[in-house]
Amino acid sequence: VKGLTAIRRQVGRPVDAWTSFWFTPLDPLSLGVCRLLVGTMMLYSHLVWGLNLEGFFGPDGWQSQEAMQSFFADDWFPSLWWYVPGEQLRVVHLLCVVPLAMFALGILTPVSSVLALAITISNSNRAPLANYGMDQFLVMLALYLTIGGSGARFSIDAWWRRRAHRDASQSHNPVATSRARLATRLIQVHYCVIYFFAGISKLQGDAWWTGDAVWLAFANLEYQSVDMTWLARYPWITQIATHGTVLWELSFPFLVWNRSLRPFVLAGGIAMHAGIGLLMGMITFGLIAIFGYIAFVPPEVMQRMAGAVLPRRAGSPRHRSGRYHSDETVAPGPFPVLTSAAAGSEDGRAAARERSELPQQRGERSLPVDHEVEHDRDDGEPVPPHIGVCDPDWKHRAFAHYLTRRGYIPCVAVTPVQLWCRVERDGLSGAVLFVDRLGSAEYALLLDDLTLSPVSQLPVVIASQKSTRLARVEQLQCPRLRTVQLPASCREIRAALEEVLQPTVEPAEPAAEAASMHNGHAGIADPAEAAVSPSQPVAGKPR
Amino acid sequence: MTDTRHAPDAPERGSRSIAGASDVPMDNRRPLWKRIGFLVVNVWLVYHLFAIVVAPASVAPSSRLQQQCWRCAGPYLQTLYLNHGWHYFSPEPGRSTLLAYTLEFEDGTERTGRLPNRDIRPRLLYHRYFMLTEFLGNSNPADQSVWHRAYARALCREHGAQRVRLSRIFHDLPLAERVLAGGKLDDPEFYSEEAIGTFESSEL
Repeated sequence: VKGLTAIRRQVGRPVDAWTSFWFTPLDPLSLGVCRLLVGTMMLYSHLVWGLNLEGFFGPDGWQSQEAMQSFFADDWFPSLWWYVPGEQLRVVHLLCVVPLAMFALGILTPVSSVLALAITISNSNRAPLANYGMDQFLVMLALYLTIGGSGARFSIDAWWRRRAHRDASQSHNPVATSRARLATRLIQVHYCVIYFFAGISKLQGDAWWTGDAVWLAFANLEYQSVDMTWLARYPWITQIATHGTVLWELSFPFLVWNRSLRPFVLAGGIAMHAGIGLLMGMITFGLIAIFGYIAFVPPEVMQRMAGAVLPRRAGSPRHRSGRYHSDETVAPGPFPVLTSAAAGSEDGRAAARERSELPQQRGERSLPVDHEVEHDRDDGEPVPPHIGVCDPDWKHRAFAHYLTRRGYIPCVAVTPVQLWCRVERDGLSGAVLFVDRLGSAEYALLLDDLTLSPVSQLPVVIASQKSTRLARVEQLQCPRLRTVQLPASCREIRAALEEVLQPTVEPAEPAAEAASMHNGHAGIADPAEAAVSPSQPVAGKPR
Repeated sequence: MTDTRHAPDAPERGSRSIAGASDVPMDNRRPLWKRIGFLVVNVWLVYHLFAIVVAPASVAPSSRLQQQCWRCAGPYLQTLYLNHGWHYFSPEPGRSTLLAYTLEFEDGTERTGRLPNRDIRPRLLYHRYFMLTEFLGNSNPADQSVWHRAYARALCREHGAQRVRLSRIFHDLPLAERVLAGGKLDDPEFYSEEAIGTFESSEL
């Protein structure tokens, strides 16, 4: 039996890895941003087709039906344009603008994405001789954005959903989905395939070995948009660019998966595509290839970038958490998780000074407190507390289901950073973190977050099989932290959670209390109290 | 589209809670339709990955095995417009092919032109015309008569011409040494013209 179990586990590991790689839920924020950009490009391309609609799509155009049927007799090019009479081309073309615009903006995306994809494929299949790299990337990305449910974020749909939930005094559900992960992975893998084959196909040509290829590309007057003939005086530049291009393309599929190298790999790609776009007149091709790189940007990074670009909405949880935290080490910015380095910066100290003032002192209206919103609805019925569950392995879904049955609303995150995003956005009441899968550095960073950043005020249960990891938590002496030695039952973890959720520690002073209220957690003490309130192990197998 | 597997530390699928806890019944088993759906998604995923690799791998020169694989994936790839080799500027950047035309109108006037015309805006439209003419240089000349007729008809229709003479123009790429010696990219020496024929609008 032991042998069978061992075999089953050995077989199960690659299956688990496969499932985890392709289907671990992911916030589709990056896909949403990608959808906006790619959708806009799809719309633009469609409008450009319309500049000579008869010529490109008409039955007697450059690629007449007769020519297509005789030349591509063995191939199949599905396209709606085959069925549109010549006199109706303009009307159908204008009608197609609607779903394309809806897809770009994220309106009724489940439907508009399919229609937009069908239209884009139809355009490309009707005029295959007039296509080039831009169309290939466009359709590929459109397909994956359709699969990934990219309208869930950064869209009119999402805005509408948020508004509807706000009207109903409900918190919207977590948006991390398996299909978002699947689509993101497909984009990533497809890019790897593209660059790998682009690289090895270049190895067949002499010019890519002699270092002349980039010169020849720039010397093509029909492509050229900027005169680059001055490069003839500096052949070493074109030779470096030639060999660098081949090396970069061949190494992309292997290096881009390394998180440390990924920014450099992507930066190389952006430089290459920007060069093609600006110097060889293929702006649209360069842009669409770069748009796909967004799939390589984790949603939490995208969240930070979007937060830096977009203005904060007054009254939003992000707005509150960024300004009124009692934690003195919080640095300014949209994202509340900080490193100790940021905490010590001048900006961080200035922000801390600003946060030390209560809103009333600044003459501002006091903002609603999250826990009041949650527990004092107009109808008098308490809203179940939202509990974050950080589950990097995606193996403890049973605990999330258990929480649901026990009257909680679990908000599952894959990484601690995603969980902190949830804290910032939705104001969780507490969290359970399964930390065994985290790397050492990642775990150390997590402990820093729990002690240095605003999330230190969040009641947290840390569950692990590794006693050394739990011991490190206990050394923090934090009253809002509990540890649970795994294996433990769901009931034991819940017991630890409920104990840590109890407001056992009174705030030290009114200012801190008010500030902690604005943090959105009822009865949360100032982190300074952690020094005098050591953590108490409570779970079934307490540490 | 979710995982049907259970936590590795659970001793039996669908019968125990996480970490082997016995106090809470846990049912990790998904409904049958969900498990079937997940299986279907995985099968499609494997096929899709196979297809997107086969598309560029089967571009000539390719083995018989690669061509057989392409037959399995070709219709799927073509339907989704994913049938691409991704062989950009390979095996190496080559010369351009342009289309020169002379239109003759009913009143006896003539007008000459060349595609792609660098005055075409926006640039995306310019590239679409450029790809049309590039095809004349990339495909087998013996198979191109149907395209010559199609291009001639499109030109006559767009300009209202009675007759059109077509010719291909090949624009060779100068080496860096030639440019250093004073050559320019548009010097006539880099162009060569090859007549295609004359086409009557009424016969097209």
